[in-house]
Amino acid sequence: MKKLLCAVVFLFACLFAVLPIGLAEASDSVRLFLNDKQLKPEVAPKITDGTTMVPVRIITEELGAKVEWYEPEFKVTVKKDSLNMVLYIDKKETMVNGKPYMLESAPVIEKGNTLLPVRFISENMGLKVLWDDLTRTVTLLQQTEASPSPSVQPTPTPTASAAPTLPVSAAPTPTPTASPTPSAPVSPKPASSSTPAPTSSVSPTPSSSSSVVKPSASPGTPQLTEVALEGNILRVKTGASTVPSFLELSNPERLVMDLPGAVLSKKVNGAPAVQNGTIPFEHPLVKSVRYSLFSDNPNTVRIVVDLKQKIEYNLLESGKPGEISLSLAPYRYKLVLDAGHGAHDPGAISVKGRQEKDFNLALVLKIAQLLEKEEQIETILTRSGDTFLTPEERAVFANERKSDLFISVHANKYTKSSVRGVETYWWKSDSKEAGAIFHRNIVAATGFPDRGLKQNDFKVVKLTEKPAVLLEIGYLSNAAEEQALFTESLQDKVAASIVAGIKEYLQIP
Amino acid sequence: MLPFKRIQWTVCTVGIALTITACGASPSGGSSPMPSEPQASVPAAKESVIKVYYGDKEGTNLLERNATVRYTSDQEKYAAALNELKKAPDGDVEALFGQTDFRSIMLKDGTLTVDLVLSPGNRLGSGGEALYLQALKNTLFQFAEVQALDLLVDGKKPDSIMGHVELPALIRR
Repeated sequence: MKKLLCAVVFLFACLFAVLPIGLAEASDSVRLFLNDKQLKPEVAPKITDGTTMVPVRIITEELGAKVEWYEPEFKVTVKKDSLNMVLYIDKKETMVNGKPYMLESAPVIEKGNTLLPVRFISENMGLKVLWDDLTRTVTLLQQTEASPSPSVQPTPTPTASAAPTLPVSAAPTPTPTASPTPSAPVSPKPASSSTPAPTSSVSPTPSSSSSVVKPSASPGTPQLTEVALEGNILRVKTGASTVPSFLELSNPERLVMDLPGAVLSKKVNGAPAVQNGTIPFEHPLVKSVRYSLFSDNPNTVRIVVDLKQKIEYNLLESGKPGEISLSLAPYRYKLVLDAGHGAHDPGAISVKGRQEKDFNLALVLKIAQLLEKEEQIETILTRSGDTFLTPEERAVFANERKSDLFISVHANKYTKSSVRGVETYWWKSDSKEAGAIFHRNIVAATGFPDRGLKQNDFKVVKLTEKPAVLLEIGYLSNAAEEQALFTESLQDKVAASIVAGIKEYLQIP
Repeated sequence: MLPFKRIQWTVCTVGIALTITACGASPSGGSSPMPSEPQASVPAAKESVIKVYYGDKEGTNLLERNATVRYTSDQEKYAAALNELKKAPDGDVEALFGQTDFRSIMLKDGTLTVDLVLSPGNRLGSGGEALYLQALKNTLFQFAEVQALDLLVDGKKPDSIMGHVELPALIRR
């Protein structure tokens, strides 16, 4: 038991290291699997301080433990065979078979439901707990030590099972003969005496193993058999047709492809399929491809393409049924250049009566022209003439085009003509780095005083979803700066410095 | 200046005698009730010291100054305060509203609606616009009864006054 606990604590520590760093788009919801069966408790599992908490029913009904509640002490006991755990609501102290341990997160009562840390309890019961950050899935695996892989199990008769294995972790695809359910569970762990959870073995039907392994691929079901890269074409073979859906993720760059209705074949790329399998690639864009049976209700295979850089993909019309072809190409960054003001909004009026909107547009057009030769940048202008958009419309414009970077070009004005210099504004924390680059470059290009890189919630930098900056190049209320700002030579220098900043920020050589 | 007596006519239901209330602040000067014919009330002018906000010489911060304003109604008090924004009291501050005119200042249910007219010359850069709006907010929200500002430009609600700062439907204190 002690040994097991040590192992459990170690595993616990290891797994914590990979616990959710949090995907930007992920909600708080967590999916929970016991082997290959998705558990859907009435109260959704949740993550508190990195610990997945599940309602008590999961522990009792699915893991077969006996849970008792002692009101006066707010104490919960979890008992299974010789295992005896004591937990307290809102306390991290816990006892396992009389020995004290500390939890990362205390059990809680939420809306009348007691939520317990599933990992701690499961691992003490001898279950393996896997966390998949991408799918936010917790998988509880009933462990079988030294279990022979089902596919190599020699005895096809259900009664002759050598070990009561649940072959999900090794090979989720069923083979009718390879997954015998023991008619009488034999404890595989003499030390821990933890038995396989009863849920899978409560009704051992001697002649059938279907209760253990699913999904079974019926004819016509798409099955993932191969993932191949030919040049920049990624091919995914499923035998039968499935309509993939895609999701792009960053940090690190990934392309996620879901194949609805599909299951894993027995073999993927010639090797026995495993849940969470990885296929490495030697490719300029692709590091590896991972696959898993993401859901069994409904069946969905998820393929994650781990990328070396941001890419663009195109779903190709594949001639063959049951094959998905994607063309991959290095990503083209979308840059939105926004000339401030326009039409009835002149912006600031200069000391000589010139209008800010004209300066802004002239500079933006110069930047756009310089960017024409950059193959990795697609430049989009909010306005290329004397037209008007509201600040909100400019941000929406950038968001709708999924711009990677938004640059709003302005010239400044104050009531006092002696005020001069360059100001650069950012709002969201993801924009400060870009702001610092542009600010440094523009101060150098203009030779104007440095009024600082500043944070302010101007609408165009606030509403844009991706990094966004607002550049106040110089003061139209200052005679010297006004004169310089309307010269071609200064505009050219500033445009070049902004282009250099764009390339530096996007890391384009 | 001696404050005028403020007489407020409260007309109740027919048959009930007109009640004449002397304003609490005004000294009783032997007000003679006019029983039959309500005449135009002559409100008493009040004098207050209020805070007014200006830009600094660098255009980076707001500076606070005191101003003495006279008014006979709250409406006039707001107008007087806004008027102070238009002129710098000393050389260390910059009036941010030099070419802004205020009209139809109205308080209703805690919301002060200010309709302003901005001449093109008053359009500032992004930082200046932020100061402009903040000066307006600071100046008007010093009055406890003003819970929200409804700013209009030329009678309309623009997305932004000068094209940088978001102008919400209502600016709450």
